[in-house]
Amino acid sequence: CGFHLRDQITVPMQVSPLHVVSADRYSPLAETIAQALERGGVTVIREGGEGAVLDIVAEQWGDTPISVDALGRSQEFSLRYAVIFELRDAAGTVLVPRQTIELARDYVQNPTNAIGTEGERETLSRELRREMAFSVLRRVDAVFKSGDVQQQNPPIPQPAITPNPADEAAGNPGG
Amino acid sequence: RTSDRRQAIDIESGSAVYSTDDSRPTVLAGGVTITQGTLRITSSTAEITMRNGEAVRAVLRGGPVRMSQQLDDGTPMNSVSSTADYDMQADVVVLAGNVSVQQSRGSLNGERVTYNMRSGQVASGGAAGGGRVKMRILPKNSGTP
Amino acid sequence: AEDEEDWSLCPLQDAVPAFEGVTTPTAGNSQTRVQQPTDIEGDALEGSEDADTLVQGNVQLRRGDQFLGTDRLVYNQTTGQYRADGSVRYQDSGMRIVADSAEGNQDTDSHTINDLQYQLVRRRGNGGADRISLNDDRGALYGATYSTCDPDQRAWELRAREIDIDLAKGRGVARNATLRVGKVPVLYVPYFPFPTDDRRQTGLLYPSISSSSRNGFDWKQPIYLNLAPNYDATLYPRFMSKRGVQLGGEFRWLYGQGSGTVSGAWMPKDDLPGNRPERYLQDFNGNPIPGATLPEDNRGQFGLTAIHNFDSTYYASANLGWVSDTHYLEDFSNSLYGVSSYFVQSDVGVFGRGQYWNAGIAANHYQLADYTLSDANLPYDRLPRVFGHWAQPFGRWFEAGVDGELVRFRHASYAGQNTLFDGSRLDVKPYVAANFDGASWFVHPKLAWRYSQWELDNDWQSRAGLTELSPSRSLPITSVDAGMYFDRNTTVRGERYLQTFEPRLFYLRVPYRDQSGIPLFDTAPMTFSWGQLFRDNRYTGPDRQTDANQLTIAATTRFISEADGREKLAVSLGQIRYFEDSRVITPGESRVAEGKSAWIVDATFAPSDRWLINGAYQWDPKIRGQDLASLRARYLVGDRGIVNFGYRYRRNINFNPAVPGSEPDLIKQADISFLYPITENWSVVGRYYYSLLDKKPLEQIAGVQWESCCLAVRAVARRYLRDRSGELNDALQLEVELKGLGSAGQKTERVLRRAILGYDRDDLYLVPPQTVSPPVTSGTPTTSDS
Repeated sequence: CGFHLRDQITVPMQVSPLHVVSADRYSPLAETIAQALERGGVTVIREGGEGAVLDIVAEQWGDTPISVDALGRSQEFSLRYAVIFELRDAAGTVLVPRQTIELARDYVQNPTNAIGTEGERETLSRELRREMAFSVLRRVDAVFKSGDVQQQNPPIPQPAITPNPADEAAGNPGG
Repeated sequence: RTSDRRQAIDIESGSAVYSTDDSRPTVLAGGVTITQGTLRITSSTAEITMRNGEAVRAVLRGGPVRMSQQLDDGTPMNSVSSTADYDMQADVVVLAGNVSVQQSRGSLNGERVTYNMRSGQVASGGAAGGGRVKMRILPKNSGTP
Repeated sequence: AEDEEDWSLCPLQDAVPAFEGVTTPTAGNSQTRVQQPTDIEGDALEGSEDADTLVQGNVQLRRGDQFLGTDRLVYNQTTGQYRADGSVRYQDSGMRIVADSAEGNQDTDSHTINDLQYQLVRRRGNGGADRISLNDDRGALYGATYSTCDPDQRAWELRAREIDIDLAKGRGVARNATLRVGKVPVLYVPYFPFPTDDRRQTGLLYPSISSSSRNGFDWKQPIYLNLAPNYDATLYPRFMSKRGVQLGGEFRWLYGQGSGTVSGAWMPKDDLPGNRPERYLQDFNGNPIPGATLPEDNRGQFGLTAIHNFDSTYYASANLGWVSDTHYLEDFSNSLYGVSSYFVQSDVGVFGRGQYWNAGIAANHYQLADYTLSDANLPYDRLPRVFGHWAQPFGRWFEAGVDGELVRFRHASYAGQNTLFDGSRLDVKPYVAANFDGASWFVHPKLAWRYSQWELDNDWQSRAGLTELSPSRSLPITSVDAGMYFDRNTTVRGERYLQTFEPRLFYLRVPYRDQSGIPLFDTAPMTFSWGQLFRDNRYTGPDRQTDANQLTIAATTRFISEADGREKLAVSLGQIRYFEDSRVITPGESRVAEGKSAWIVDATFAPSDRWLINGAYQWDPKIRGQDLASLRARYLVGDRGIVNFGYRYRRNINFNPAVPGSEPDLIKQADISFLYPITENWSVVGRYYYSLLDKKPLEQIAGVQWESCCLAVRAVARRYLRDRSGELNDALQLEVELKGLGSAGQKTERVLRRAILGYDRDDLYLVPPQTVSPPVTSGTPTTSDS
C-alpha cells in the first residue's frame, strides 16, 4: 500500500548548530525539544555561540470548565496548552514561519469527590508538554520535507500572545 | 540713518565713461562703490543719471549688488540682489532678482523688494510684482541670527 | 494596561483634514516653540521693523511645531501682536484648528481664535467652539463640543460651556457638560475629565450598566488610578438596586523581578439573602438546614496572584483566594462559569528549575465555596508539599532520574466525621531508562522502583479501624514503549499529502501489592483517555499503584500537507489488552477484568486555517456500549466572527444500579455558540447550551452588537443556570461604549468571552491566560480589565 519506513529526518545544514530559545530560560518544553533534537543528530548549543534559533515565542496554559452538571457545577475540564514558535537560521531568515500549535486534554472532576484532580492535572500537563515537543518537531520536519522552506504562504495573522512571566512560571507545576 | 542723506555721496569705480549732457547716464564699470554716510553700495556696474550736475538716480547691476546701512536704532541692515535702482530724490531703493535683506531682527527675501529709506518701509511682491516673499523673524532673546 | 480602541470603522479622513504641504508635527510644545525663529511667507509684504508688517496672499507663518495659514496677516515684530483674517488654519503638536479669524501674541504664545472647528492631533477627539484661547500648552474652549465621532455621523457628543484642554498633561476637562447620544441628552455632568492622548490617565472608566432579576438595576462605575509607571489600581464602586452598595478594587504592580495583582470586594450589607431566605435556610426539598444563617453582613472576596523571580533558577509564586461564605460565588457571579467552581484553591510556594531538574516546596489550601457540598468533599490540604524531579540523559541512549515527594496532608473537615484524618507520605521513584531510537523506530524500556511510606495519625486506628499506622509499599515498575514510523505520499482531492502510519506498543508489568490498608489522600482513578494507554499507573497519586500485566496496542495516522507542512488530519486508535485482572482498586470501583479495554479513537481535523474539529470516541466491548462520544468544532468567520459547536456524551463508569440516584449517564450535552459579523457594524452573538440528560438548557445567550466608528452598543440577554436548585436567572445587559471617552479604553465583553470560546479573537487559542490550577474566582464581577 505504498508505506515505507520513514527515512532519516533530513536536517539541512542551516539548522545545525541550533539554539532552542524560550521566553522562560529553563522552560521544560525547550529542554525536551533540545534533547529530542540532540538525539536526532542536531548539535544544540546551550550557552552563547552562533547558530540557528528555534524560538518558543510564547507558551500559554488554560484550564476551563467545558461542561457543567444539572446543578451548574463544573464536572469536566479541558486543560489546554498553546505554543507559538518560529525557526530562524543563523542569519535570521525565517525558515519556519511563526505559527501556533494548540493541544487539549479533557478530564472529569467529580464535584462531590475532588480528591486526586490536582494529581490528574499535573500528569496531563506533563504529557501535554511531551506531546507539544513532538508536535513542534513534526511541524518543523514537515516544513523541511515540503521542500520549499522559504516560500511559505503567510498563515492567517497569529495573535501575538506576549509571554506573561507570572502566568507562565506559575503555570508550570513542579514534580 | 536718516542723517545719511545730508552726507556727501562719493562714488569710486574701476572705469568711468562720463557724459556731459543729462540725456545719457554716466556708466561706471569695473567694480563700483557708492558711499553716503553709513550707506554703502557695491556692484560691478552702475549707471548714474545726472540732472543739472546732481546725481538723481543710480541703477546698479551685475555680480550681486550689496547694500549695507545702519538704521536709526544702530542695528545694521544689509541686502544682496542682482540689481538695485536707487531714486535719490525719493530716497527709495528697488532691489530685484532673488533679493535677500538681512536685519538684526530677521531677514526677508523675495524677487522684488522696495525699501523706502525715509520711512524704513519695506514692501515686496504683490502689486510690486515678483514671486513669493519670505521673511524670518528671530526670537527676541536669541540676538544675532 | 489599557486596551487600544478599535478605530477601524472610522473614515480615513480626519474631522479637520491635514493642511496640504504641512507635515503633522510629532513633538514640540510651548517651551521649545518660543525659542525658535518665526518664518512668514506670503505673496506680498509691506511694513517696517517697528510698525506693523502686512502680509497678504496665502500667508503661512511657521514657528517650531506651530503653523498658521491665513489670507491676511498683520504682525508687529516689536510687540509680537498679530491678527489673521480669512480661512485661518492653525496647527501645533496638540491641535489642528480651522476658523475665520484669529489674533494673539507670538512672544507670549497666546492666541484667541473665534468660531472654530478643532481636531486633536494625537487622538481622535474633535469638535467645534465659539472661541478658544490658547496660551502655551493649555487651551480653553468656550461653547464647545467634543466627540470622537466623525463630524457628519455624530453618534455621541459632549457639549459644555467650557472645555479646558491641557496638552502637557494630555487631559481635557469639560465643565457642566451634557452628553448627547444621537440627539438625546443622556447625562449632565458638572465635571467630566477625558484623555487627549494615549497616556494612562487617572479618571473614570465608563460605567457598565445592566439589570437582572437578582440584582435589579446594576451600575458599576470603575475608577482607574494611574499611581505610578509600574503600579496602578482600579476601584469598582457598584450599586445594585435590589441589594445595596458594594466596593471592589484591584491593585496591580510590576517590578524588575516579578509582578502581582491584589483584588477584593466588600459589601457591608447585602439584602439578597433577606429577600429570599429559603434559599439559604432550606435544602432543595424544603427541610431546614440545621445551623444555617443568612450571610447578610460583610460579604466579600479576596484574591492575590504574585510571582517573584529570585534569579533565573528560583522563583516564588502565590495564588491566594478567599470568599466570605459558600453562597458568595453564586450570588455575585454573572456567568455560568462563575457558578461552576465549588472550591477556592490557594497555593503558595518556592520553586527551582534547572536543566535536568526541578523542585519546590509549596502549600495548598482549599476553601469550600459551594453550599451544596460540605468540607468532606474538599481535597486534602497539602501543608507542606516538598517535591523534586531529576532526569538526566547519559550518553546517547541512556537516561536515569528520580521523582520524590514528601507531603503532610491535613483535611479541612478533620474534626467533623470519621473518614478523613491527617497523615503524611513519602514517595520516591528512581528509574533508569534507555532511549534506543532511529529515524523510523524507537524502543524505550524503563525500569522504575517505587517506594512509598505513610505515617498516619492514630485516629486512623482508633476511629477508622486501620491496623497499620505506618504502612509502606515497595514494588518495581517495568514498562517498554516501542513504536515505528511509516510514511507515504498520497494525493487527496488534488492536494499532495505526506501520510504517516505510526504503530505503537506499550507493555506494563507491575506486581500486586495489597494496598487496602492505605487511605486515599490525593489519589483517585484517572479519566480513561488516550494518555491512559501509556501511563504506568491508573491512579492520579501514589496512594494506589495499580498492578498490571497489560499490553497497549495503538496506532496514529497523520495527513501532513506538502504545501505548508500543516497537519490537516490526525486519527489515533488504541486499546489495552489486560493479561490478568488488575486487583488494586479504590472504594466504589470495580476490578479491571482480564480482557480488552475500551477502544479509544481521537481525531483532530483542520482542513483549513478556519476550521478546527476534534472528536473523541470510546467504545467498551465489555458492555458493548460507548463510554465517551465528544465532538467539538470551531469555525472562524471573516476576521472577527467565530462559530463553536460541541456535543458531549459520557457514560458513568461507576454506575451501580444498586446505589439509589446513580445514573447510567454522566453527561449528555450539546452546545452551540457564535459571534457572527453580519455587516461591518452589526454582529450577533448567541449561545445555546442544552443538557439532553436533564432536558433543560444550562445557558442561553442572545445578543446584538452595533459598533460604529466611535460608539458601540451591546445588548445581551442571558439566561443561565444561576444556582444549585437549577433555577435559571434572566439577565439583560445593555452596554453603551463611547469609544475614546473612558480614560483607559475598557473592553466590556468579558462575560461573553467565557461563554463563547474564542469570542475575542486574540484569545482565540485560549480563554484568557490562567494558571494551571482551576480559576480561583472565575467570572466574579470584580474581574479586572487589565
